Amino acid sequence: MKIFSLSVVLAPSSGPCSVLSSTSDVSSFSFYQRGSVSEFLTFFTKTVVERTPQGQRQSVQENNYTAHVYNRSGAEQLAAIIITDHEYPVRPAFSLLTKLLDDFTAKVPQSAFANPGSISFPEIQTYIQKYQDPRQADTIMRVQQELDETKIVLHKTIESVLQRGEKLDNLVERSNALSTQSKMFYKTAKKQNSCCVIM
Amino acid sequence: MTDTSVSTQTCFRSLASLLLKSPSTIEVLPGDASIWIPDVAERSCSPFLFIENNLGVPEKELRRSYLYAVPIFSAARKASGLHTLENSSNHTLSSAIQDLIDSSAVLILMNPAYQTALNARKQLIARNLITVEQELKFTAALLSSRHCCKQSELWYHRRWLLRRIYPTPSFPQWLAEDVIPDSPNFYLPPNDLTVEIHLVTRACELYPRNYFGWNHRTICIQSALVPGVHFNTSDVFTEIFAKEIASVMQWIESHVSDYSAVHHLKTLARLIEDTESAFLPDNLLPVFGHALTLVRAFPEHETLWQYLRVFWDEGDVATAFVASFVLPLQSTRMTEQENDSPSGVQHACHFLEWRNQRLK
Repeated sequence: MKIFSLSVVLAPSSGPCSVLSSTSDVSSFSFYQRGSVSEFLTFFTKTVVERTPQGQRQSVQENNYTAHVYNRSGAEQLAAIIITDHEYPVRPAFSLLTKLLDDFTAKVPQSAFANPGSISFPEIQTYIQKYQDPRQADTIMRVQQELDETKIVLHKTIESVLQRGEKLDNLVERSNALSTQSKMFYKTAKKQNSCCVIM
Repeated sequence: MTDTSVSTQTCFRSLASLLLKSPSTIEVLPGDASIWIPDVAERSCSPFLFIENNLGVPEKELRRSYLYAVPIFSAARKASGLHTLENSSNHTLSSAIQDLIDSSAVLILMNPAYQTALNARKQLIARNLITVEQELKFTAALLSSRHCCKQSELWYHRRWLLRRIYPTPSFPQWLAEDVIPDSPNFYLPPNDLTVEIHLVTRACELYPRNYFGWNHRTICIQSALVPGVHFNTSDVFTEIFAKEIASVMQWIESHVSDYSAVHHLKTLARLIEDTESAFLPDNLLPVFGHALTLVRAFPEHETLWQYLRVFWDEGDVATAFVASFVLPLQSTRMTEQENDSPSGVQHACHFLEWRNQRLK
């Protein structure tokens, strides 16, 4: 039961999204994997957020990871995404995202969004540490009753959120954000159809 | 010799020497060296990576070294006379022994269940050609690798080494069996127990639900409890049991589908019941409460229901739990379609059937 990464993303209705604040924990991976895992977490974050319609919540599984996304849109056009293992329960994940977004909008002015480098939001570190135990989210879940009525779509593979004609293999191959090593990890994991490594 | 075979030979020797440097972790990396070492300046250990004492072995280089090591290993085994009693001349012997040490290390990295190579190393130790301490470091490094840490042979090899350092003291057999059944065949001092537990923890993180890792941990705990070695047995027992139970309970909280961890905890509980120590079975009561809390929090995980079963203690708490949680959960099945029912309902039904059987 683990949270690998947590991000707040600016997701305009069209065009690419940009990560405003983000944190990750790759300590459970082996030494030479860590760099590639970090790259893939960022890649996965952007790929999934860009394909989540405004106002929607969805969960996407890919290999060993589950990404839970909440594209809250609204005036700020913000989305939040958490990438966990398959064991991490769904409801705490979404409660956490709502709380994270509330906290973020309260602390960071919208004028800062244009320049993500200037944003300081150290609280995100506390989130990833505290909520490694999902039971910590029980208290915030009680406040957020609305979640019960919301139907959350679960996609068993990332392919089902991709647009027509898009393929994950091609996205990985074309990505400039992924190093040769990361692409190699991806290919090997795919070939072995393994439950291991990166993505 | 052609150029390729010369370079394969260098590659093989350099891998063997890196393996014996006792790196803190070893990883097999996909692809060949060109992907991993594009920068000429970093080629000090080429075609391997050695950063901050972490060894990275590109898969293709490992395969090449392996193929090169196979004939060397079988020739060296013959020449060193390890499998026969005859002795060769000293010069051939020492080079054969170096070959044997190097080739077996590479073979084991490629295939950690390679019995012949593991046996050759045991024989080298028996003849004092490798020290047990060196070999312990070598196996610790191997066990940091995902494809190695799930191999029972490798864990067994490690216990064989521990037994050479810490054979059980000789005391009457009836005593040993009386105090601890299935008495282990080596004794483990507290510091070494910590080392083993640390190794197992890392291995179980790398390879989830790692049965052989947990099995090693169970045996090591038993070995730390060998009677007759401690001055004040009961204190040591209490300390080891209390610490171990607390740490496994914590592990289960964050690894809710690790059934091997639950099995280990149950084995500990049996050990406590069978051992006449100051650590009474009453100390296990919090475990039942722990299982109840976890099932309430994550009812969709079958492992936790099994955890609850093995520590189930019929009584007021148990009855209240069934009435307030299990029955309401089971009843949600009646109202909804079976494949649409909330997760955990199936487990609740199975649990109730099990309990009814028990109450009969």
